[in-house]
Amino acid sequence: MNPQVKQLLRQNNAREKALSPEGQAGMTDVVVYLRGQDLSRLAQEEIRRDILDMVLAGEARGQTMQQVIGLDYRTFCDEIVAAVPRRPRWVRMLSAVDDILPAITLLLALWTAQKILSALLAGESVLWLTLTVGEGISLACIVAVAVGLVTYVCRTALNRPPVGAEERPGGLWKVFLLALVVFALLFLPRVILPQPLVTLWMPAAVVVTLLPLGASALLDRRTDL
Amino acid sequence: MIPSQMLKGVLQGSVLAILSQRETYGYEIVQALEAYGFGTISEGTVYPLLLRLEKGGLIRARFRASDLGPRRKYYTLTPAGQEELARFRASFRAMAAAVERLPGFDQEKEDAL
Repeated sequence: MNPQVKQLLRQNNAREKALSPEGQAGMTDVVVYLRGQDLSRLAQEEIRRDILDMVLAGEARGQTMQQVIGLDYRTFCDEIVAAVPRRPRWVRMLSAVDDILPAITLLLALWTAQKILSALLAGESVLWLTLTVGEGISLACIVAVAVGLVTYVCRTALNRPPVGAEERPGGLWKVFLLALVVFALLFLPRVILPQPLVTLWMPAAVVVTLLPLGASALLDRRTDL
Repeated sequence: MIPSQMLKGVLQGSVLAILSQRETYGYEIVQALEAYGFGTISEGTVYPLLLRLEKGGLIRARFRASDLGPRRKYYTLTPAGQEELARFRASFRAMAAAVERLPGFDQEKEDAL
């Protein structure tokens, strides 16, 4: 992350603790919604700083966040996003790629560690690690599902349930079952497609694992601002 | 109370007019709008407008330490903002004159006739 953005993020995180519980909850919803919009990280943190200033000053006057911002947080956020000039298409695409690179490094690191451990336990050589077709598909699906989940959570952060809506009984069980099914489907390719895709020398696998993280650090210089 | 759709059309120009008087910050702008008779407007309505004006180069923002608490973001008009305000004044006067000429809007004239 760009150092300027990192500093602003730390400052905003610290200042948010001074809000009331209601203010913190409202700010969380607003920030999560804004994270899913087409704004650079710097723009997100600058806007977050400005909103924090308003809400903190309002709370000092005895006002709630709703009294300061208005009742419709979603319209408030949409108008903010509309006020910021749109980034060029190529920057938006780079930013989308940049967002998933750390996750790819994490998944590859877990894959590498799992392969080395399996080889050690089986008494096999750890110098050569084989990525199977199923493992490759599984990794790609995990990234896709993660991106989809984050996008869904951000876009619906300010959705309010209809007035008078009751929590459906067994709703949590349905979510749990759905998560289990998705989890099983994500790992199914590893079982049914064991054909080797590529075999890597272990040190090279470590380098390949760290490459996305390095690329992300470079891309951050452009996409964060 | 001024309907929100009508207010939308004049809010930008009104904010520029307030900023033409002195450098000021969001909450003071909201208080000034209320004092001028625009009704209660939240900072949530004004902030996106200020952001748009700033990104459009019509106003400039800077942080200043305040006497009572943390630093505040103060806004001031740029030369482009002054020109936009002049355009708004001319357009609004033309529109107000046209509306005043509509039947039922100028009661004194109708009474004289």
